[in-house]
Amino acid sequence: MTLLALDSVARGYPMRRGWLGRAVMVHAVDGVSLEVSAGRTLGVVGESGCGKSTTGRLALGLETPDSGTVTFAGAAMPPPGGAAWRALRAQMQLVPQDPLGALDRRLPVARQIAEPLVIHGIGDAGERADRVATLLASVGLRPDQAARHPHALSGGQRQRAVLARALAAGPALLVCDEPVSALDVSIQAQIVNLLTDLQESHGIAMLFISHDLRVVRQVSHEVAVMYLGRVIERGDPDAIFTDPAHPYSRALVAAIPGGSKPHAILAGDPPNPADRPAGCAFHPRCPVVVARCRAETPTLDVRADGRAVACHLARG
Amino acid sequence: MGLTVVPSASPLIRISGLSVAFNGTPALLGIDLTVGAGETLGLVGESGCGKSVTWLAVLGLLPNSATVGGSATLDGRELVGAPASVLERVRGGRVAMIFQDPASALNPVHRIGRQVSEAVTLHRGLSGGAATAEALRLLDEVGIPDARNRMTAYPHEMSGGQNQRVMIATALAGRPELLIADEPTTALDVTIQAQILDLLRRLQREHGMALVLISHDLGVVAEMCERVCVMYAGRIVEEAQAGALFAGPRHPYTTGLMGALPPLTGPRLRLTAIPGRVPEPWAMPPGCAFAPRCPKRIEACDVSVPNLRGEDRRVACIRAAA
Amino acid sequence: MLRFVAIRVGRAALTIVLVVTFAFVVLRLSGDPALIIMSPDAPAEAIAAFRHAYGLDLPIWQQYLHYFGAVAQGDMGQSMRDGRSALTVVAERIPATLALTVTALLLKLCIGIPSGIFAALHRNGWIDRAVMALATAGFTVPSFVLGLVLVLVFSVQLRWLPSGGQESWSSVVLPVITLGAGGAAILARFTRSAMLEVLGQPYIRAASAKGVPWHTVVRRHALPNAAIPTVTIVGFMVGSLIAGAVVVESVFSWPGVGRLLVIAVSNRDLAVVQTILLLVASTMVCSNLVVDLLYGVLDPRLRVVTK
Repeated sequence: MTLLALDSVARGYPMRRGWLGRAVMVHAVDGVSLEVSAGRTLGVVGESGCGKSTTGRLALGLETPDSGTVTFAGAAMPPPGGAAWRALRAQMQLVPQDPLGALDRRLPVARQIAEPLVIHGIGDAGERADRVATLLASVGLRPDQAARHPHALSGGQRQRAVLARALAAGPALLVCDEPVSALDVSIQAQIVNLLTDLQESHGIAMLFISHDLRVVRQVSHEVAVMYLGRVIERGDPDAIFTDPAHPYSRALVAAIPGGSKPHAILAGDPPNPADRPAGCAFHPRCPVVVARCRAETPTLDVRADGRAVACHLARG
Repeated sequence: MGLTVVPSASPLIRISGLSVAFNGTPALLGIDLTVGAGETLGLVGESGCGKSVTWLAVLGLLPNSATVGGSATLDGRELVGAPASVLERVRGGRVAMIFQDPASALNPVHRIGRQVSEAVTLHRGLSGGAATAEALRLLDEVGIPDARNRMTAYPHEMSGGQNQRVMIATALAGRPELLIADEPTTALDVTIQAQILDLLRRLQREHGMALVLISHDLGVVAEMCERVCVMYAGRIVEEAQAGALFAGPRHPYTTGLMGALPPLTGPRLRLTAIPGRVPEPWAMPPGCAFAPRCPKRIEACDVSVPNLRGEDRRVACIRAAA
Repeated sequence: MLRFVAIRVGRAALTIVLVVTFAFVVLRLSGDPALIIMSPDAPAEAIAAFRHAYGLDLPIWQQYLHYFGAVAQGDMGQSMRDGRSALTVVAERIPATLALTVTALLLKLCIGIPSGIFAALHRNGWIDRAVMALATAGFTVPSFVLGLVLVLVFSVQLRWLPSGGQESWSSVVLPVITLGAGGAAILARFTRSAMLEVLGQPYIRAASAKGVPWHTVVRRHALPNAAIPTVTIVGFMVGSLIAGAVVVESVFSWPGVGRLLVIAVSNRDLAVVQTILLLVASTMVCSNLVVDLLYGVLDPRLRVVTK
């Protein structure tokens, strides 16, 4: 069952070049279509500036698309700020990269975990206290840590507290934006395991945004690779990681350190969203570019094997 | 102290019993380590394990609040406590260092050409036009496109990958025998990381310099290094040739780190995460620092700190079959 | 770049226009100058004649337009006290004020900046603590208190220096110290924190790692970066060169612009007050303009991208 659907959503921001230059539209997200099924995880990978975080914010309804539609549980996303939108917050939660920034430094974590319950009017005081205790246990925090302030917790514990708060109102969808990127490897594994456990026990769907392909493969049921605001490949994680079809996906997989793929090093810098190349946006860095790539933008087409690829040369 | 694997007759750098404390709180608890000429050594560990502090201490780059003990010699010459004049010649000369976030490691108000030629002037005795020409040659060598015009650019006008190339050019200015790269690609995108690692490999081959790669990323170290030291809570816990280490880690912490890294192939099993967290430096356990998190812990682990033992490979664990 | 300068200058001019308007409105609303100057029991014809002579009988908007037109031509009107040009009355006081304020500014810069740098370089050492204790004292003591204490000690008790007037070089000493102490303290604290911020930046360690000697790291890498925030506060000090000495000039009966302002306000000498206000606003606006342009020179990140 499809829980979240993005249909050709686009979002641009006006950006000035220099101090007094004319504002140009920067298309952070440019016609992205994605679906997240209930209880499943869609991994979104890409490098800085590919639009993956904006996609996450659009999915949560924190931003309104310039065009296209976001549908959650079969209904269109209500405009931000309204009563319907606020009620929907209980259904969908963000897990950000920086837990310290997401928590209030002045409040003990238990108070912050109880906050969604208060806002959405769930239970009375006693029931809330019980619920907070259950939540703390389910994210692996000790009861004595509940009274602590965020700065008295380690990075991993803070991310656990953020997760507990996100789970408080019983959401159907978590949008995780680089949730483990700021953590050390051993702590990263704890949180990754916790996320998969929580998904199993609570049946939560996840939009998992990360630049780390190893982590994305670990948690995802489906993967979308983004480049310059567009999805350029989508499919089964194992298929994409063992046999990437798009030249950019190939470069990305080959660049994973310690991987088995031989290095095909991609030349050039990451692209600037304000200066999008014509045709296929990847063509200036593409090792197999042909004339057609410079003129014609490839569409994301589903191949016979179920993989969707936006490349003139990888139709399969 | 166990015997150290010495790749060549006499190592370029020999660190012994190196310790560092910040305002009395220990950060480094006795490091023994050698780096041979031309070799690639990886230093892995999580934040706060002392992998960067080790090399900052060797080069005398720690703030005044740090107390450094033990010894670090470059070709037999002591660096710990050496006068500033000696250290200044070594830094950027025989031993160069590059850092994690290239954008903030470059001075924002100086043009990049000037930042490279500053090092050229210091270590090569060139000045004026000759220094500028050499700086240009270095920027060309590290693959800055259109280097002649980029000489007058400021760091904020360049991408992260290009800034790291500028840092590397600066490091090459003194023709170093050892380059210490402290998390050189952590702040960069994956495809740019691959470019920078490739550049470091090429330069090492062409210049025959030794490379110490400090990283939290096992994958990066596995790909780049011949020999690897794993650090935990201010100590080296395992040291081995990279192939041997990744084929069969002997310290439970090394095993834990590898289990925590999601694999790229094969079935997706639950990660074997290390429970708990690194002890705080002011609350170190009496015995092995890893014991509280260790699946193989026995009573003896809490009695005393295990020594780094072994010949061809060293392990600091009483439970390891060394 | 030209466009950037033009916009800044335009903004500065607009600020001055607003200041002129504001000063005009506030002062006209605060009472009838004719009654104050002439004393209320003066004959009605005399008051009317006075009003007519100074244009005070016209509607307020006409007074404003006349005033504005005159200001644009450099005519600030006449002092109601002695009928001389207000500009002349103010201008002849400027050298005396600048003698105080410029000397005090030099004092602030020569003491504040080096001691701030020094304190930062010896952070938490006894020198740092001493400098910071002095600096805290320096800007918590109000200048009229400091001035009076200095007079008590050096003029009344020790009889080393005169307590006021403008007779010899020695009369400058106490007012300049009074005027400079607070600013030096503020600059010391500001420079210290700017330096500490910069010294903690990765590029400082990276410069040391290049083998740059420490004193060169400080001079070449730290100071230019620390100068950027410090320029703001120095700019503010330059902006208050004309008006910053009101209290001190009164305490030491120094015949400068500040004392003239006090006298003119109590006399409702509108032309003189407005001239001084305009002068003060212009210096402040000009120094802000210079600071803005200096930012661009000091920090390439703020320069306009000309592509």
